[in-house]
Amino acid sequence: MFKKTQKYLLVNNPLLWNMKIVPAVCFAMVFHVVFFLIGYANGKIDFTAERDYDITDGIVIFFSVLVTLLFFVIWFVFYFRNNAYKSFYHLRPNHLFKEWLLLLLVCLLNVSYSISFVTGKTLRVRSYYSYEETLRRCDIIDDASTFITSEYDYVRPVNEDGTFNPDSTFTYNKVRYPYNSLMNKSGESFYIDWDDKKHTDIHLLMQKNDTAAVKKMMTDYLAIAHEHGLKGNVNVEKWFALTYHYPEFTEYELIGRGNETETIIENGVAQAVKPTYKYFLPQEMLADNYEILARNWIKPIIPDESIYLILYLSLGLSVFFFAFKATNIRSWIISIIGSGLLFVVMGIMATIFRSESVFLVYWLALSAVFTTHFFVKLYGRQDKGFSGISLNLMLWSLPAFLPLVYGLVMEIFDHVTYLKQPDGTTKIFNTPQHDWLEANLGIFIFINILLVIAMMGFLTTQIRRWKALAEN
Amino acid sequence: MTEFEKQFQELQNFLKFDDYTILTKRIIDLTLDTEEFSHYQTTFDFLNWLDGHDVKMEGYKEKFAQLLDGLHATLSKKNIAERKILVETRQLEKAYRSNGFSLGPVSMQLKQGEILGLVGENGNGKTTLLRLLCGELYATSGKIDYHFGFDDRYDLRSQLIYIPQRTDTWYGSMFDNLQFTAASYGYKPAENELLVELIIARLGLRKFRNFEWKSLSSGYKMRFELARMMLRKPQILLIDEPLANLDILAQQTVLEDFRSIAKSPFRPLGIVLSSQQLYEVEKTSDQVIFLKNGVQKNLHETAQNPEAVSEKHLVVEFESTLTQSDLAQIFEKFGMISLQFNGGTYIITLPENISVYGFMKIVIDHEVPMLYFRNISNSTRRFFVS
Repeated sequence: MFKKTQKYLLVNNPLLWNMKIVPAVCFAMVFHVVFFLIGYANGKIDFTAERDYDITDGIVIFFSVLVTLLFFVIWFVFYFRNNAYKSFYHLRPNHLFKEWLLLLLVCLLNVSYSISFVTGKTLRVRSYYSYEETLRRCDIIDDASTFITSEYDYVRPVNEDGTFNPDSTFTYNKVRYPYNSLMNKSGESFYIDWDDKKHTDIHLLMQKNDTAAVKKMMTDYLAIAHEHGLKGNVNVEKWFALTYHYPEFTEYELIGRGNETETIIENGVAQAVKPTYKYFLPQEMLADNYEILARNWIKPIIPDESIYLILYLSLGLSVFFFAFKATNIRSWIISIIGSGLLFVVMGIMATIFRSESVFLVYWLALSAVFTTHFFVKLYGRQDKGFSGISLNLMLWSLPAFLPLVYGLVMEIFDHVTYLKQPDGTTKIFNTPQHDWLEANLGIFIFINILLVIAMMGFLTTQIRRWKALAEN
Repeated sequence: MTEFEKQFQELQNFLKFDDYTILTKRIIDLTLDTEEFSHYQTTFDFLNWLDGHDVKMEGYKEKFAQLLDGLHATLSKKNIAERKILVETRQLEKAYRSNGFSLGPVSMQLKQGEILGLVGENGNGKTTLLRLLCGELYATSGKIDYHFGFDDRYDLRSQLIYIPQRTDTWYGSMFDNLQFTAASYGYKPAENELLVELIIARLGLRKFRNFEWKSLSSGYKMRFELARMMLRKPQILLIDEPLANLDILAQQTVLEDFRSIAKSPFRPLGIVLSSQQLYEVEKTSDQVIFLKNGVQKNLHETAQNPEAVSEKHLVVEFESTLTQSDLAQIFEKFGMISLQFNGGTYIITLPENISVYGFMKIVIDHEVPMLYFRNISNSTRRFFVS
């Protein structure tokens, strides 16, 4: 099938044939599906296990980079086989722009395997329960945590001699409670921006002594635990009896967050292992795993940062490879070495001046020099000379040019003012220009991408003209 | 009689004398001249028919005649292209700072359908002149005027095809490469394959259609370049040492191909070629420029070069077993001007009243052993030996 498609493209669209677009896109699609499936499999939650440090993401990203490199190596062998531009074939002025856009597409498809992985993983996690159901369950687990061992919300004040004041209290809904009250425990901190209407305030129920509601919550909690095959050693009645003592809620049995044990050591020798708490519930596992569910529902499937990273990486790679096609291997390699040297100079300057502005001005000035040199050669009826190197460096600095300007303007308007507030705190202010730039960073990133594409539209026509200059 | 009719008459003679190999090539040339899909198809079918049939077969000749008639009917209605000037140089000079070599001044003119031969020893500026003409180098002074339309310099260079002595490596099969070229030049998908088939048949590359660059000999690589060039329809073909590394038979074939391609009545193009194969180039070229230390020497006066180094004496190159003094004794009686021994051959200069027949008569009368002789009075060969 590939052969037939390639044959069709060869006579109908030589550019697509030359760029091996169909095999390249198919390759990318297959690997996107593979990475999606790996992500989907990896998104499975084992509710009976505690969350452990997971290195799968790192391994998958490593392999995605490996696949990307492998693809580019193989693809370039075929892509660079034919070069109509280098052979001075009759090309329309927009030919190189089309070629670069296709190159950008290929780069985009082949540097974004991790996106498919993350998407697969997120969708798998989300597939367990709907958003509303996840919220409802997190709410129950959150409410239940008040009746299970957890930290106090308000830290008990410490006396000057370092002891706690046993009589210290805190206020909830106009009522004072001792610090050791269950009212001082608000439970798990799920990664959820709670909607008040959907979030039960267990403390309010406790204050109203709504035992039915509290018991229902406990019943629901145990049902969730049962659904996941998790066990505790109390039922609703027992749990309620052990922990619920209206109105102050200061008398309660500590319920463990799991079947934890501790070792009894006497004279430096382990004597026995006994449960830490007499009663326990599977709170640790539920909280851990529902935290994963909550997080995957709250964060976007593809975070903005990942989109920016992939877009800029593709943009950077596309101009990097395009430079090879536009000039020649000699200029390309010299440009890479030249860039390395320029970075070394930058490092030395950064050490001497210790200023971010110097770094920004340095790169902006260099970009201006490369661009000027290229256009002087192009319109000065001179031979190519070293302009191939200037062209490469100009192309490579193109995606970074406006961000450098942005950074410089930010630096210029970065004037921090510290203002003491009546309540004793300090508020930090910056200039409106700085704040505006900071607030519109996302928009700027997309505008820059559009401008780079537009600039490439112009530059590719100039590169075509440049190609026709005499050699040095 | 138009140029086409003259060439067609030549084809009829090939048919008359059963010279089918050259006739087949020329039929393909005429087919390409029609620029019509139906003729491409007919000739392609004919080529396939030829593959399976023997020359002795009845109706073989008639098949050729029938095809020729069809082509004649179409082409006789087409307008013969006017031979316009393609490029003109005036006092063109190129100086290299690195080695002090300087080419020129060179003044020349090339018309459609003309072949210009550049001859001269190595390092005398032939390649430099070719690179100047194709835009790969800028001249230090002087002017190059191209007399055909182009949008910009890239467009200009796409109409000037320069084939260097060492051609670039290409990858993949020859057929795919040619189809890629044809598609890049906007040939419709249906005619793409036919056209490529015809061109590779024209250049004797049919057997090698799936060969890669590394599998082809120098001669076939050169033919591939010509095939690619034919698809690109340039105004001028500039080709550096096309005969180097070719055997004598291949040299003659390539030169004949150049002639046929350049002198198409309907799609003529200008060819500038450089070579050390003096006699072959002279035989094929319409004009020859000899370069000695970068300086242009023309055999004949032209509008661009009124100072041609014309020769009025009879200059003959020959090979004989006699010694220089024996030969001198014979020819001195006839007013011999000079006799040089030039590494195996003698170059004799005789007064203008002696013709080449007179020279032959002296040789016969004095029974001079003669292995080879050539009248080089009107050849750039005398520039090499003088």
